[in-house]
Amino acid sequence: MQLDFHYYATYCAAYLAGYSHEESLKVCYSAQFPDNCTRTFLAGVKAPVSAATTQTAIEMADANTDPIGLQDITRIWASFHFLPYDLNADVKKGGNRYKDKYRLICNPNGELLKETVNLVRGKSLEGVGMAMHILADTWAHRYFAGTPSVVINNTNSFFYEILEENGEWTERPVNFKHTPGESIEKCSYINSLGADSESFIMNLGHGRAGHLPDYSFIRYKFMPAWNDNHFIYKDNPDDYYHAFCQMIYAMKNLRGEGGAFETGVYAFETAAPYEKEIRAIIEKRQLDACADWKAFGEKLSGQEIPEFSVDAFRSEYESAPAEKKDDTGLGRFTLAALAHKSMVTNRIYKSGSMLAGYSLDYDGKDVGIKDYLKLLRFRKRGNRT
Amino acid sequence: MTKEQLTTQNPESVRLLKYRSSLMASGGAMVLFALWTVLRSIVEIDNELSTRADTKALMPIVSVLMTVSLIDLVLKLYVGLSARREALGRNKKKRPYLVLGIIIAALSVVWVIYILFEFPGACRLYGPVYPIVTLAVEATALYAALDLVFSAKKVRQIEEEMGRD
Amino acid sequence: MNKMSRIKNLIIAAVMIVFAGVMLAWPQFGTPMIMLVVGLYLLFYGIYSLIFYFTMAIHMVDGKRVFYRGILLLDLGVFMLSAYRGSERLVFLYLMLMLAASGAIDLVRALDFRKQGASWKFRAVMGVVCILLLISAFIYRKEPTTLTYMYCIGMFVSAINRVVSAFRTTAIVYIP
Repeated sequence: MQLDFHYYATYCAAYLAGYSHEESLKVCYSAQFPDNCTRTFLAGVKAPVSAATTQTAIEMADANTDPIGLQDITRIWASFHFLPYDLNADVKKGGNRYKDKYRLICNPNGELLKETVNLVRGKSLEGVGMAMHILADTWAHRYFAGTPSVVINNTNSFFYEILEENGEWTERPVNFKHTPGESIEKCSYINSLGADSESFIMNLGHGRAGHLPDYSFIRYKFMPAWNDNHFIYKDNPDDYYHAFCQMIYAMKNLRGEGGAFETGVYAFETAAPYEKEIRAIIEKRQLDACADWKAFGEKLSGQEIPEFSVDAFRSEYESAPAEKKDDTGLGRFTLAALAHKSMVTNRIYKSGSMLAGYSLDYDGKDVGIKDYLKLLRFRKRGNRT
Repeated sequence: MTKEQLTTQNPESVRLLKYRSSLMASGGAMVLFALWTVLRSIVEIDNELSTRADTKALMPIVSVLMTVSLIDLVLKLYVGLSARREALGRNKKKRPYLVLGIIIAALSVVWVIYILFEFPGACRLYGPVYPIVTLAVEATALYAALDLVFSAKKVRQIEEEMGRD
Repeated sequence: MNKMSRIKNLIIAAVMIVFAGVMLAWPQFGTPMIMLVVGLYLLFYGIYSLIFYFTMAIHMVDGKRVFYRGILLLDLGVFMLSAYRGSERLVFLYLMLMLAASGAIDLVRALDFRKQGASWKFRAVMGVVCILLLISAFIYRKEPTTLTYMYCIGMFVSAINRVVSAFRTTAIVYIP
């Protein structure tokens, strides 16, 4: 998903879940921030770089694709943008290496989503926002895995938009290219370069499907490499509406309503009075729905929603003294990110896969990524991330 | 069409896509192998000529070899690219490339049998690696030709059954 | 990375440095040695492609092209090992493309770093060095030892990268 949904739509969902305007702003800011929190940014403000939740195109082009590099890439993308659905799926084909990659395929309503939401219960609003980003992406980025893999993430020329015109349903081929300039009318979109190398960085996530998973209006069918010549029909408007309603439910739950978070539950009744309006925004054929979501959110709360700017977190963090940095927005966000990345890496490791690297209980002797010691110290002090 | 028709897939459709995928791969393989064979032949001939003092006498043979190579290249390019077009569903008129494909496959069988006969001698002359790889390449080219013919036939058969012909 | 992988990386790096050193000392043997290395690389990459096909890509839609690629690379490798005269031009072109891509990525990354306020000078220097190497290689392309010197510098950089990788801390994530 992109800024329109992660920032503005999450604001709307947070407000409908009962958060105040100021709280909703904190939540939605941190729901967008996982798409901006790169190593380069964190290094620039001298924050722990292991809390990085994304990589820029240049960072990815420069990334090592040796085993350590691939583990690092997988930890970021599988944790924050392609949360695995079932790490113990019964895969009836391939050896262990193939099965490990297959099990990283993202889909909504998996066990890891439950853990993600429960991990931020009683913690900061920044953590809630981060969890909403992950939840929303399980809907948009389904059927792809957060690790470079041609045998899972590749697509081919079988790629068609399904659209309704004057009551008739038709399909038209999607034209992919690698130069800027997308056109809805011509059905022309950008995607990443294809290569048959398994660990080629362009085979990460939904790169081969371009930005199509991130456009709420589009319905399409395509053939993922793992699906044995069966195509998948992706109904983005339906998925996005489910994501919106599930976010409302999750945030109501985190605010203390209705017991433990369960998957497959949606706050349809809360969204019902606004369903027509929300669906109209989702189904409007436009590459960027920020203006519409912003207008809807401001109508809901009666307050102005500021434009998203990564500098808001930066300036607060840089001006805070060293001992107070963890109490800033960025400080709380990085702790939530470290905790979440830690959890997902552990679950992947415990499923028998080394794709995200080692994950061990700290025994006072092993030395690993020192940034995580910060998380440990924070937890030992009984603080909330 | 209805939305259901566009978004659900029957078993016939799955088989069709499977054979189209095979056709695409074998068509592409035929094109690449043909191009590589010509490029290699040019370098080998150039290398051979550069080691001889008098090359004028060899010119007629070289000319014949190059002509035959080019004809082979053109035919294989036609067959391979036509197969790829059919795999993408762009073949409105059924092109006669299949007949040429069968001829190329038959000639590939003969060529592989010839290589097998020459294999012991080649091993003595060049060692084991070069003849084994050559045999593997020619056997793969034969497999690609056979796969192309088989997949093309299957694609046409399934399309007829599905009433698209 | 476990201990065996680290040791393996260090050994490979040492072999690469020695090999590059030998070629620099006797550049007249450079081209045949490069053909040997490139030929072996292609041969093993072809074998790797075939193994990759039978273990992974066989389950992938359109996976058959990986098999065909493997066979083609095998043949290309054997061809290089036979040291035909026209092959060194192909190798030269390949090295030029690698230098161009490497230099461009380093420079763009340096600009990205600079925009974010992080340290960028080392990246920029690496990018400029790659571009200068590329330009020199092109200017002196007709010299018989240019290919050798280009290849040796590439080997040194690759070896240093392997040494750095071998000493990188393995990521261990703490669980609360």
